[in-house]
Amino acid sequence: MNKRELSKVFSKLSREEVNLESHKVELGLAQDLQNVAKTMSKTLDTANKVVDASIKVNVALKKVEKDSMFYNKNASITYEKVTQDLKYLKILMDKASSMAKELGVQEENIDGYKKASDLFLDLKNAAKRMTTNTLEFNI
Amino acid sequence: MDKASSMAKELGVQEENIDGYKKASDLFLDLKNAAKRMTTNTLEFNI
Repeated sequence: MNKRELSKVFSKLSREEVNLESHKVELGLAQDLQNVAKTMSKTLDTANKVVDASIKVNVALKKVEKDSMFYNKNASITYEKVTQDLKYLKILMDKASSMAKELGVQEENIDGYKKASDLFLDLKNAAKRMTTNTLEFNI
Repeated sequence: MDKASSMAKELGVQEENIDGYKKASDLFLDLKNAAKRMTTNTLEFNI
């Protein structure tokens, strides 16, 4: 091999070496990309779960806020009304009882008595529930 | 990914031909999107 041919071979070898080096770096880079993708996928999952939790909590909180506002607006005034209604119903039902006794009939035979009697029990029950189920916080 | 782009340019190939580039590129977009969602979906109260 003459000097010119040797130089050509070395030149070619030199170029090949550069390409091999590039491939080696490429391989390392590919591994880095794959490793990073694996570990960062976990971070991505957590990030998505954090956002889902936030959306869920905010939706729930808005409902709690709305319900609390309804409670604050109506609880006291409604309890008052229920108490008054109970008093008035009691008066009417007592009158009906006297009337029935006077007429010698059953109270249930007086129109509206049964309905009023059922309502009285429901209102009494509602009043009890209202006193045992108050809001446990202020918003 | 920038390194991969430089490498791809050097080798005269498309970035997508480097193993893991496509996956990393998709992950990059997903993470970017997640970061955006995280800033716009914070808790609206403290517990």
